Amino acid sequence: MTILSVDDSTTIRRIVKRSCEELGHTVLEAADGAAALAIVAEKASEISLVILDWNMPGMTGLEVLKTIKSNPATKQLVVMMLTSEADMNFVSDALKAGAQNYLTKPFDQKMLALKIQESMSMVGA
Amino acid sequence: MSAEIALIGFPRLQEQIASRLLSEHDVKVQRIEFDEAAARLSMFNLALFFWPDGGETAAQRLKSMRPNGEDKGCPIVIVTSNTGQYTAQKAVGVQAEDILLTPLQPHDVSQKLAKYAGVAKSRETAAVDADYINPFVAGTVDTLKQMAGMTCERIGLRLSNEATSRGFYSGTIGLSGKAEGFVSVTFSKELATSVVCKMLSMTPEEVTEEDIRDGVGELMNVVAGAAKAELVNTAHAFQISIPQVFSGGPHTVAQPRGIPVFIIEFEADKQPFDVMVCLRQRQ
Repeated sequence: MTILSVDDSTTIRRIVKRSCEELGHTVLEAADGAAALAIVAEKASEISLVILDWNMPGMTGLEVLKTIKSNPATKQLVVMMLTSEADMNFVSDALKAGAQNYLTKPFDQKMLALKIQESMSMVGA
Repeated sequence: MSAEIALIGFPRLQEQIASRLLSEHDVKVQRIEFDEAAARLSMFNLALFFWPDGGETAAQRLKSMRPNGEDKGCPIVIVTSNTGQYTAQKAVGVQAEDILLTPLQPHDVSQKLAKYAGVAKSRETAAVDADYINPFVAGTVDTLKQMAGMTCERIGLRLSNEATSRGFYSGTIGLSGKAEGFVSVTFSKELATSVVCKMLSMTPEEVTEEDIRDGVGELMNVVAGAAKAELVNTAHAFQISIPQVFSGGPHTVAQPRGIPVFIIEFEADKQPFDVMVCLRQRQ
């Protein structure tokens, strides 16, 4: 399955890509919200999961999430927030906006893999 | 950078006493005259204004320096006696922020300097106000452990009036909200390379300069996020910005005027690195 990794840090995108590929998934990448929405608009039918950072230049992850979830063509996408924002208010805002999963940085590889698998189990649910 | 303190209207003996007590801190003291005070006040971090017992002339002069209580850029603390404080009290909250009583006591002077100019006297003084440092320490240790599988240890904490990084790579994040300032991590070239290689499971030959810069910035982002979550319901709550990375050797980070920087010294893989925290509550 295909996963879209959205983060302005190439370091995080590489870590996510490695984990996803080890689990047998294909990864698309976007460095900001606008690029992510362009990919989602073009390839929504291919993408199963969006792994989304919060603090990025331009649109925030929450804005991207709300845009995805407000569009009938993309609202079925499973979204997992992967962010350094560990404050419960942020978690609550993301879940209310439709995110299905939330992982805070710092994370280790095992936890990331576990969360990806957990999120993938929600695809089509 | 030393905080600039103005002495206004001090008699000679009181000026000598105040100067001696202030000299125990990292400050620059300058006597200024009444007629130049209004024009020059904004150049200082704190002004000590001498208020004699009667105080009528002093009240008028203070009003002329801050008509209607405006120009709150430089805090003013009135220095007066037990008798003088009764008249001086009327100016507190309008033209001045606070009162210091004569004879001046070292502890009182230190307290006002810390409160209004962010000047700490010593390591001991700093430790009292350093509760907000612990989340940054814990965040650094946890981030390196989880993201790079590295064990690091805090080996020291010191105060500085200048935010000069000693490493080759520095990641800095601006903080704003109830508290404002910045946090910065600074690594040697070798340690930055080692940390980023471990994060990416790559060899030093495989990582590029851009990989290292991005990795250092992301580490700072994660440390700041972890500390932010711990401080969310405190007076030091803050929002974080996008990290900026500097490379090429020692450099100085611009800091809020007169606010000292805590430099937390760590060691990872037997190599030193620093996390600098400069944070003050907004007035």
